[in-house]
Amino acid sequence: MLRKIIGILAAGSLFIAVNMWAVPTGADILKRMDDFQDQRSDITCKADITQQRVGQGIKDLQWIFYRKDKTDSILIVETAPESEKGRGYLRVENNFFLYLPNTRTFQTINRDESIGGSDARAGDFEKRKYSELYRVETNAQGKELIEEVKLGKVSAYMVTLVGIVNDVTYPKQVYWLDKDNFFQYKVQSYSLSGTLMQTAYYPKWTQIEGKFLAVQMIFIDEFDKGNKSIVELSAISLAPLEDSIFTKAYLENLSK
Amino acid sequence: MGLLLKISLRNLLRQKRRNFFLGLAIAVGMMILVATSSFTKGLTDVILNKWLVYSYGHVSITGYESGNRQNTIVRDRERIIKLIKSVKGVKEVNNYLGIFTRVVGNGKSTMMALVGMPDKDAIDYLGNTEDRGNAHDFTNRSIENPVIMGKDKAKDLNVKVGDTLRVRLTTVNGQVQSADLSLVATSKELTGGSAIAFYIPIDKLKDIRGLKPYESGPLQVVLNHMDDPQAALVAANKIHELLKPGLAGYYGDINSGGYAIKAAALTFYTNSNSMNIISSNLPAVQGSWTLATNTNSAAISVSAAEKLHLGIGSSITGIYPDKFGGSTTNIYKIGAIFKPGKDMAKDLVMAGENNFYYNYLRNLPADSLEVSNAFTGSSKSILAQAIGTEWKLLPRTYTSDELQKKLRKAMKEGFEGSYYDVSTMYEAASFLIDLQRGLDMISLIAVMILFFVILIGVLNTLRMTIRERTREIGTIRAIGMQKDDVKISFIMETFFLTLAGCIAGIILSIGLISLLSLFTIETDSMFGMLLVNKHVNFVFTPGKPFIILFLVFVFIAEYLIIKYDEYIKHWLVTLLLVIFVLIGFLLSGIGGNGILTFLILILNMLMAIAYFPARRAAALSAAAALRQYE
Repeated sequence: MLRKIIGILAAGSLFIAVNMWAVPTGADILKRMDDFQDQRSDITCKADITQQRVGQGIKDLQWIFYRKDKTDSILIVETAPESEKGRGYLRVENNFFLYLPNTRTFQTINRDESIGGSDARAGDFEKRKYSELYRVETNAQGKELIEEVKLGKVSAYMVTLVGIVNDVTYPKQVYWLDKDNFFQYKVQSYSLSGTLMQTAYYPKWTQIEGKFLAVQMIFIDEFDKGNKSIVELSAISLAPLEDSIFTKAYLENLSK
Repeated sequence: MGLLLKISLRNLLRQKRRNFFLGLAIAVGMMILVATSSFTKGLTDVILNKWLVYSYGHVSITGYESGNRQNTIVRDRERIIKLIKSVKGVKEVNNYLGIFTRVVGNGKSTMMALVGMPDKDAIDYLGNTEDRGNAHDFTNRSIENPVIMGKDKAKDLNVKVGDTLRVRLTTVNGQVQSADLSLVATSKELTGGSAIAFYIPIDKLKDIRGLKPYESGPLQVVLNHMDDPQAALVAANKIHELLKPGLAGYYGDINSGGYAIKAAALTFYTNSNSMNIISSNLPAVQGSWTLATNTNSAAISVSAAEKLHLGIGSSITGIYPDKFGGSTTNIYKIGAIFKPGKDMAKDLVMAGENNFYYNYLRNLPADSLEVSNAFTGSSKSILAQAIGTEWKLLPRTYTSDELQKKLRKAMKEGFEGSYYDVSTMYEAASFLIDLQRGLDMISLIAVMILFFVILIGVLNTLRMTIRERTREIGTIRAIGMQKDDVKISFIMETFFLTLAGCIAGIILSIGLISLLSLFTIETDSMFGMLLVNKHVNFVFTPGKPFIILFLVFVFIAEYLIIKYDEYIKHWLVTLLLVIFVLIGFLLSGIGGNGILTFLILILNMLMAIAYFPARRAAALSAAAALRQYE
């Protein structure tokens, strides 16, 4: 009996150990990444962006950012520097508008256009599932390339994703994901020809109302060396936002 | 008439010095007029036949996709080129490809326009302008992505011939792309404003940009040598008519669960208006049209569904031969089974634009009559408004503002297919056309002011001559010369003086232009773009035949009015002469300046000016004139 119990316990322990230490499949990882993305909610925050450009020095930008999850609407207002104060961006449905306070006019912008002169593009704010865009890269034997690595002190999965649709911005991305909670700590993005274009680090995470958020992001331009952007989020609120915020009139009012 | 001619010529020779200086003033005026006109014509020639041809074409055909104005692509290049070439006056159709991109050199980077150029054009345009390297290496396919750039930009980027440059851009599908480029030559020609562009073989740029061999960027139409920008509008309107799209669809095998039929697949627009039209005209007997717009879903006709033993939720596979030798497969889940209209094929698949255009545009189907037969209703019918076409043809616009508005509106529609737009240099490069018009008008006004001063001189001289010859007029009137003949003799005198002065002026202008053309101008400024091989470009034209002909008619009409003025009221004669001079002035301004145009215009003006003192002389009675003493 005791042998039986020990046997069951041993088998159970082995089962738990195998499951604890088993490397997840590509599908699991993509699902976890999608789940992570889906935990988004309405959000209001302040974003401080420090941009370093070769030959141009350092530029500090400040945005107020609103996002409504249900309608996937976005409103961004620039509050610094002084020269760009009041400029705003509004996304409602499929339309992305730029508001220019000097002329009090709205212009439509497309997904390739830069937001506030930063590295962010209008298309970066689109909500698309990882599992619809990517698959995990496989080797010649068809084995998925998922490695367990150390990123500093953190144990992480290094996983290479390749695009399965033609219109994905980066056809190849390498992710370093926290083994326990799947935080993205580092992402390398490659061009279609295979050149490393950007490395992004997400070193600081916080938990608000049970939801995890990266509050510091560092984007390093690997193509044009020496360019770097640091984004820091503060004054984060996940309180529900009114539809009336995501209107041209509200943006115009806010920009005054 | 012969006698009057003799008197006029004799009078001209009687006062040689005065007439020489007056003729000289007219000659100098004409010389300046012709030289200025040839200079502005030269600039116009550079702008219309060089700048525009290289940068925009006279007419441009652009395809826009993904609701993005930067994403310009013409999918079936050969078909569109064939249509364009059927328009009269088209000299050639070039495949334009240019991308504004970040270029990284050795530790330096900048934004530049990477322009794809056919080998031959590159050698014609850039050959033998090397500062360093060999421009002919541009055609060497063993070199990876050869490029040529201006020497100053190479210096800015800290690169020399043989070095590698890197560029970052997006492909036609919106993917981030990068490429290494080999600098094979630096050019002395690419300076000033043109230095912003650097050149790569167009096939290489197409590869980098992700275009297939049969696809291209905007097509630039070059018309036969033009000196009238209006020609572009006529050609653009004709091309626009030819670009009317047919139905978007394919004909192929539709398979499901071991059953197969041959059928056409069409597409429908998914905006709310189109969905209403579709659901009310093609009633769904099972499922719904909304369900058919779900990702990878479609609707199928009742007949096809029966033959394939399908129900809602079943999957079908549509396989069609594409235009370029392959075959394409689409898999759809059935969201609706519908009753097709009376002017539609019985066996039919219809996919929403969201599930259709992506594959369709990237794998254009082989031409098939079955597709156009799948819906034979009038293009003006309500149902036709909801059925997808090969592309949407944007309406013609005529100014940059209208073009911008039209594109903004179209890009917001959320259409999943292609838009095609036909624009001319008026919309694409209106600033250049304005520049050209401005130059023409400024030169014409400036020279006409000069001529006005000369005209006052002529008028004054004639008044003096008449005063001096008053007694002579009295004598010839006393021996029987008619009033009319006195008037015409003065007019003829002015006419011959002006004609001689103008001819001398034209000869002088040829000398002046030849002299100015000898100077080589070394400049890095924007002005360098207006030079041809470092020389000022003068274009010597006679003028437009119909304008010359019209001016000749004006001249004859003016002469007849002057000759028969006794039958017309004085104020009306004056008014008509003023009107004729203004018409001549406007015609030469609108119709393009030419040497013969100017010659006839000046003859018209001087004849009109000479009329007033000539009429005064003719009005003198013989007795009164003979009594006149100075």
